[in-house]
Amino acid sequence: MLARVKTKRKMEAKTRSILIGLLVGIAYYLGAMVGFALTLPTHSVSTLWPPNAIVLAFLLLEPRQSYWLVLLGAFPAHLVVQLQSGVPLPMILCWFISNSSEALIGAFCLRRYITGPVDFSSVRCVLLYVVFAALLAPFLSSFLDAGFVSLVGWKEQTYWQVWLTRFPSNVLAALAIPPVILLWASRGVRWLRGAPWHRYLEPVFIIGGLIVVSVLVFSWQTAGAKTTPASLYLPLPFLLWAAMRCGAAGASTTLLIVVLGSIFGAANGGGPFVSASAADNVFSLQIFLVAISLPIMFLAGLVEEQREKAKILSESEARFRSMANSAPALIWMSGLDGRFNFFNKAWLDLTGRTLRQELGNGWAEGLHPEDFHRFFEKYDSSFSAREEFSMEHRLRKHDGEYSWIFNKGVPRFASDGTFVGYIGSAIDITQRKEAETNLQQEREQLARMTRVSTMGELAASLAHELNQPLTAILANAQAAERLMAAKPPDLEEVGAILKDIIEDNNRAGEIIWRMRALIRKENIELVSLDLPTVIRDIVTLLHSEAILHNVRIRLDLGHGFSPVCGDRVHLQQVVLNLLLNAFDAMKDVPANEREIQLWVMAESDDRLTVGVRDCGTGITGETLDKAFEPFYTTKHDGLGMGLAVSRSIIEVHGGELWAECSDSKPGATFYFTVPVWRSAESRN
Amino acid sequence: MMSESRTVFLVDDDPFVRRALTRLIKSAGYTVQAFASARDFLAYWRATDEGPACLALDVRMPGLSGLDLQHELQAAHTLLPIIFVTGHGDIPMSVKAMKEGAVDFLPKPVKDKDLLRAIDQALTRANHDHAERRELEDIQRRVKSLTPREREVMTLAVGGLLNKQIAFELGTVEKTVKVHRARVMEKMEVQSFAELVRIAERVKNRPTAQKSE
Repeated sequence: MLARVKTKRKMEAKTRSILIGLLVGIAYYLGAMVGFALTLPTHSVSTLWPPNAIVLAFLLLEPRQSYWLVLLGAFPAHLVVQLQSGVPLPMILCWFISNSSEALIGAFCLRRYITGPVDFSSVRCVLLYVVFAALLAPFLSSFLDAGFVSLVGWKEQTYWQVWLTRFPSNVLAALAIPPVILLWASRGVRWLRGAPWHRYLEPVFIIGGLIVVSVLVFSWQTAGAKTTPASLYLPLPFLLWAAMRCGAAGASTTLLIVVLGSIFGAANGGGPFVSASAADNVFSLQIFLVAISLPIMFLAGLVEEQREKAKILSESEARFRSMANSAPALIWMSGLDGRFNFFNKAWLDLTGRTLRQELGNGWAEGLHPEDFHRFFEKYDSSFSAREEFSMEHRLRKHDGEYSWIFNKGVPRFASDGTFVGYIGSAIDITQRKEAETNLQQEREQLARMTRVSTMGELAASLAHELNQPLTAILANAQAAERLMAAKPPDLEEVGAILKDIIEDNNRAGEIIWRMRALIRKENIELVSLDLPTVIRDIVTLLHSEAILHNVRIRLDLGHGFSPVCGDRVHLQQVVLNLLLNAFDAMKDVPANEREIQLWVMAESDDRLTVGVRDCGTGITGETLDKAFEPFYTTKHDGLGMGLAVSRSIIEVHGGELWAECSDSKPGATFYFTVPVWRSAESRN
Repeated sequence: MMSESRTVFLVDDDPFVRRALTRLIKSAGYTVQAFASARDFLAYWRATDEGPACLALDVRMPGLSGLDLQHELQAAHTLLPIIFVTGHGDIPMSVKAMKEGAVDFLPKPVKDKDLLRAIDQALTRANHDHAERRELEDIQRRVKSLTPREREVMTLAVGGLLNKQIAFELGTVEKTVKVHRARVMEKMEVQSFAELVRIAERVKNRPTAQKSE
């Protein structure tokens, strides 16, 4: 079975070899015919000699081990053609050697650098081809060729005359012919097949136009003083057109048409040339054609290269889009101008809007008004710094409800490192957020309950303390009542009673004033604490609360402070209290301006100072005095104990709590100090 | 019967409350003796003869608390009714106090009517208890004056035996029993046998209350 397959393959290879040999032979023969037709009667070499170029093309199409086959196919054709035109046999053989050497030099050199098909689709490929196949190979082989001609003594031309005729003619042939063969063999047929009819329209128009122009310019007018040399350039627009629109295949095909047409015309005395000498005209035409072929071919290579790049880009773009659209995450992109230029399907599904609506900054209509400034502030600052950013914000869903979104943006850079915009992904964190909010609410409730229970304890204690003077006052009053009712009333005793009542009353007042002393020292456990950590912990607890209130808390906790001597829970209660007060104070401030600054500093060696500044309504001088009194409140739902209790706590710690208000800045600033921890020895 | 006592003891650590309550109770015609602590009162109480009186007592005091004092007095079988006057009494505390025999448990600030009514009740109880105790002690004194043989005769007679049966029980003659019986009636200061039975029953049912020294 395997043997049969191998045999079959061998048979196929053999058939293919024979076919290639035949094809090369036929092409060579036809090319030689054209070459003869373009040979001036006074010259030994043709003005355009296609066979060498044809052999080169086949060599480049075939693998290296089949080169001998190509040469073998070309040899009989060469023999037949040359014998027909009566060339002596030594000359025929010599020419075959020089012609073959040219094709081989070109092919070997190119193959050193290009492994795939030589398709002129890049500037590199065009450059290598021009240098090795179109310039180096004809340059070297022309020495050989001229040498052979002088050796054999064919026609009456000097060595340099032969060289000078052959070199440009072969350069031109190498530039004009192999690209056409190579491109049509590798791509042209595929391109033609299956293309809609209108795809043919443009090439047909270009070729048609080119043929008309070529005929008009090169054959219709006879060379001489009356011609218009500038009309030489008339084919140029068609060449550029073909290079730009149809790539290398178009450019090479049109070039070949111009080359054949013009050389034929010039060789037969036509064309826009001032000189009447066909030889001179052909030579200058060769120079002209070589000169325009080079940029046209490079242009076509460049166009192909760009087209390929664009194709790769659009493919990767399409791949990205399909990937982005199938991703469950919300994905967006923005460009260099910062405006948003892409949203994936998941995003559009969530917002229920069209891509057109969302583009630019259209999507921001769905951004929660309270998050708008926060988002763009962060986006803009990150954008100008080319930094990653991430934030949580609300986005309106298709049903009008808001979802909480965790949105992360990353700057995009092109392969060369230039910044091209941002790409971002976002996930819906509403559920997590709700859970957090619930947790937060529970925490808050707990905190409130703790505070209320603290209050309860205080109240019970307060009630008992107040009961004594109240009991005395009531008993005294009732005794006085009885004494007054007696006959005669004991006025002296009633006077003493009234004195006592006043004293008891004062005593009751004092108890209320001494309220803050009710947080007794033994309830507080003073240990060594890192104050910034204590504060950070409680601020973390308030994170969601702050978002809910649209308050930004700017922390400046510093580092390297000595530990303080304090009770964690009580100090946190103080900070909590000050922060919650600050939240309340900023209720009427616009959402985007609500900011609290919280900082720690060491003003002296023995104490740290904490400052909490809000930008709320502030406190007037009169209220400032009362603020620390028990049961004083400006809130509807407040107990008015917060600051009194806080001050008591701080005083038990051996620190101070006070407030400051400035006329120049909005809001109030609360300060408290906590003493620095001293080890047991140094305290004693 | 001697005239009713109107003595009220008052214990409260707060001097102002003490002074005011003293005034109030005095204004209702009682005699008030006020003490600044439970210990002061206890010392005084142990050093003096017990007469009918009542005690108005604060619960929360430094040193010995009101409830501790109640416990001490209870252990000594004193007949001193207690009225608690407190600023922070709760239900379990008041239940405990009442179970231990407190007359009342009044919250501060106290209304004069409530306090005076409680004092009145307490003194009535104190006077009654003291009168009863005096009567018992009197009976016991009379029982003590009996000879052992007379006491045996009385016990058997009160038990409902006839003279003849008593004589048989004691191994003597009916005539001797009759003499003993007459002497018992005389020593016990009773006019009728029925009265003797009643007195004997009271001695049997009530154990002798002894004031601790």
